This record gives sequence, structure tokens and C-alpha cells, in this order.
Amino acid sequence: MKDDPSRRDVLTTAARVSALLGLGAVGAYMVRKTMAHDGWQIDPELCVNSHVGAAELVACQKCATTCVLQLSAVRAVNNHAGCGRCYICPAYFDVKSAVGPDGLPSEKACPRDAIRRVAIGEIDPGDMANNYYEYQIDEKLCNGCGICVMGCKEPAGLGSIRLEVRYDLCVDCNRCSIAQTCPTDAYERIPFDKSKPVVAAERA
Amino acid sequence: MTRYEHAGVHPCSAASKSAFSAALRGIAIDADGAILAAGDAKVAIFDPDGALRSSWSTPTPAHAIAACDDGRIAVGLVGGVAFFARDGSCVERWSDSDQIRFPTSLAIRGDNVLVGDAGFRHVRRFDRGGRFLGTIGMDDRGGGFRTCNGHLDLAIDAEQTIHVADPGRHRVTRFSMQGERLGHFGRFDGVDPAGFAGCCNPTNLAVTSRGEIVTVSKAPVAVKLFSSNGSLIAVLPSDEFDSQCKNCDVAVGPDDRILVVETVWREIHVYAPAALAKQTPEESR
Repeated sequence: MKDDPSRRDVLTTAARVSALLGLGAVGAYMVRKTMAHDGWQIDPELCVNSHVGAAELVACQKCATTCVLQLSAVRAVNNHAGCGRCYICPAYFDVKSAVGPDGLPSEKACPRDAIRRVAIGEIDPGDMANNYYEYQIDEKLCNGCGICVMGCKEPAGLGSIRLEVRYDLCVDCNRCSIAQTCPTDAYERIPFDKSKPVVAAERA
Repeated sequence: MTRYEHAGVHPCSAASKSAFSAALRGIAIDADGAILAAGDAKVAIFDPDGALRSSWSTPTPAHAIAACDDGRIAVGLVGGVAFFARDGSCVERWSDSDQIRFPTSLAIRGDNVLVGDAGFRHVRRFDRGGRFLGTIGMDDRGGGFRTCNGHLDLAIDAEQTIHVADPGRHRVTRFSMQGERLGHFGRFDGVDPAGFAGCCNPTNLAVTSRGEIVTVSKAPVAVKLFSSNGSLIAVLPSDEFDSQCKNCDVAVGPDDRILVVETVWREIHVYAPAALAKQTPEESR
């Protein structure tokens, strides 16, 4: 008959139990992520940055500043099918900054320089206004501040840029801290099958 | 050089609000000073003093309007142009979508019918019988004007020069009636009012009897008067326009009054030469 467990036995058992509990918790989290049927998403019709008619002229930036993650799970997304490929894009440039010697605004709108401007198609070097440009958002740099969304909003732009929660980054808090502070209650839990990217309606 | 003053909202605006419930898109002024308006799926004609003279429905939404010198009224519809008699009866209709897609402006001079087609992104020229004569601006890189707003506006001056708003390039480009490029003026500038601000401006234009060019920009609305050589003469006050206005059509009357559509409230704002400003009735919103 074994005597009372030694200190070593107690510690070993405790460590095993802790490891099992930890594995169980991680497993449960993974299962929950895998099996989840809904998640947080932003309604672009309510988001103050993209809602046409909203009086605000400054992006609210709550998505960038209140997410529990160091770099928010929210990103700006450009619907290229709805983008005008403008020479002067008000989401890329600070269109109220002074014009430089190249005829372009001297400052960019994005404080993190997360948008790339790429001339596409055959380039006309003699008149850059003749070219079309694609505006690509670098998701590693974007923090979802919404400044570009506000710049692109109609009537200044075509409204092709919106904010989206990235499900692969979102930790799916029960009480999303952004949703708690969103000034227009644009955050909602929606089924994943409805979370496909919204194709912006063709705008006349 | 004429000095203009904002003479308030045209008296016809009250009638236009009731005539157009959703959209007022295009205006024109005929030789008698009557105001022709297109919006919703409707045309309305107002007396110079603002009274609604007549209105009628169009088969599809009306996007552009122009007066013919024979009294008929040309209306731009999606996929075509319809010609109406003053009693509202449709007397002729061009509806070949291979020829006309989305006419957002019309200008008629002599035997030429010019269609600013935002679908093709260039100007299409027809004779009065509807025979296609050619394109204007199609040789631009990209196959046409940079109409990011889905809107293409043009005007013809007394010298038969065609002026086209090219908002994506922040220019007004001039052509001969045969389509020869005569030059352009304008540049981007978000600070200097002599330039055009934003992504794509100006969206609309008209020409006075003296050859001055009136341009209208969006976000925010800016009404500017340029000399015929493209020098800025004046920025006309536009504080009363809603910030959401866009593609505000502009027309110049026989007395050189300038009318600009306020698209959100469906009003027509009047800018009168200083000598005429006090004669223009004002009506508050």
C-alpha cells in the first residue's frame, strides 16, 4: 500500500491537470472558432465613415482605437469594381493639401501610408492625368481608422471603400469593445454566410 | 466682364419640388426664357416667372434636356433620346442602344444634335434626322472622358465651339463641331480656386453669350466663372447648396442669367448679372 503522495507526485499531478485544462481550453476555443455561425461585422449603411448623408467630415476612428488587439481586426477594403481609378483619389491624397510641382496634392490622406497607388494599363508618361490608377490597401499596415473611407464617400468619391472586420484576426469577444463605442451602432453579429464582401451597388 | 450676384432661389423651385419628387437632373432655357426641367421620369416647363406651364411623364427616367429651335424639346433617356412637342406628345424617338447609352447632356445647334453620353464616355454627334455623324473625345486615352461620376456635360458657344467637362482630368476641353481638339484649360488644385478640387471636377458647365464658361463642381458645390481663355473671373457664392449635391446642371438664359440645380432640394438657384440682380424675385427655401 502506497503511502501519502509525495510533494513531487502532487506537483506532477497538478501540472498534468493544468496542462489538460489548458489544452481543453485551447481546444474549446478552436472548436468555437471553427463551429461559430456568426460574428461581428460592420453595416456600411450605418458606419459613419461610409454612410452617405452623414454630416461628419472627420473619420471617427473608433475601429482603430478601441479594438482589444494591438492592431485592430478591422481593415479598409476597396471594391475595385466600384472604384473610379481616379488620377486624384480623395482617399489616397489629402486633396486639400498644397499642390506640389508634379501637380499632385503634396500630402497623403492615410496616416499609416497603407494605400499604394499603381498606374495600370498602358502608361501615358506625357500626361499623367491620362492614366488610370489602382488603389491597393496594404492590410499589414491598415488599422481600420476609416479616413480613406470618409475620403471616398459620395459625393466626393464613389464610395468604393468600406471597413470590414477580418474574421481571421477577430478574437470574437462576446462584448466587442468597438461595438460598445461605435457612435452609430454599426456593429452587429451576422451569420457567416451573410458575411461575404458586399458588392457596392453601381452608382450613377 | 460681368459681375454676377446670387439672386436667390428661382420661384419655379416651389413648383419643381412638387413636380419632381425624387430627382431634378437637367435644366435648359429656351429662347423665350422658359425653363425646361428633366427629372424623375418627367419633364416640366416653367414660365420665366416661375409658374408651372406644363409637365408630362417620360417612358424612363429623364436625365438631360435641351430646346430645339423648332420648338420641340429633346430629352435624354437611358438608351436613347426622345423629342416632344410642347403639349407633351412624343413626336420622335431614337432608341438604338448601340448608338446612345446614357445621355446626361444634350446640345442642339443648327443641324447638329450633340449627346454627352456617360455610358460611352464621349460626345456623340447626330444630325437632326438621327443619323450618326461621329464621336468627339473618343480618341482620349481610355476611350473617352474621365467621367468618374457617371455624368458627362457639354455646351456649345456662339462660335460653334464645343466645351466638354472632363472631371477626372480636372479640365474643360474644347472641340470643333467636327471633333477636332482645340485645347483645354483647368488643373487640379484643392486650395487655389482657379483649379478644380476633389477627385473629379468640374461636373457641369454652360457658356454665356459672351463666351464665358460657367463651371459647377461638387463636394462642396462651387460655381465658377471663367473667361473664354480659361482665366478665373469669379467664384460665385454657393453656401446655400446642400453638401451632398452632385452633378448640378447649369444653364444660361438669353439675358445671361445663370441657373444652377440644387440636386438635394430640387431647387434652381439664380445668378444674375449685377444689373439684373434686383429684378429677380427671391424665394426662401
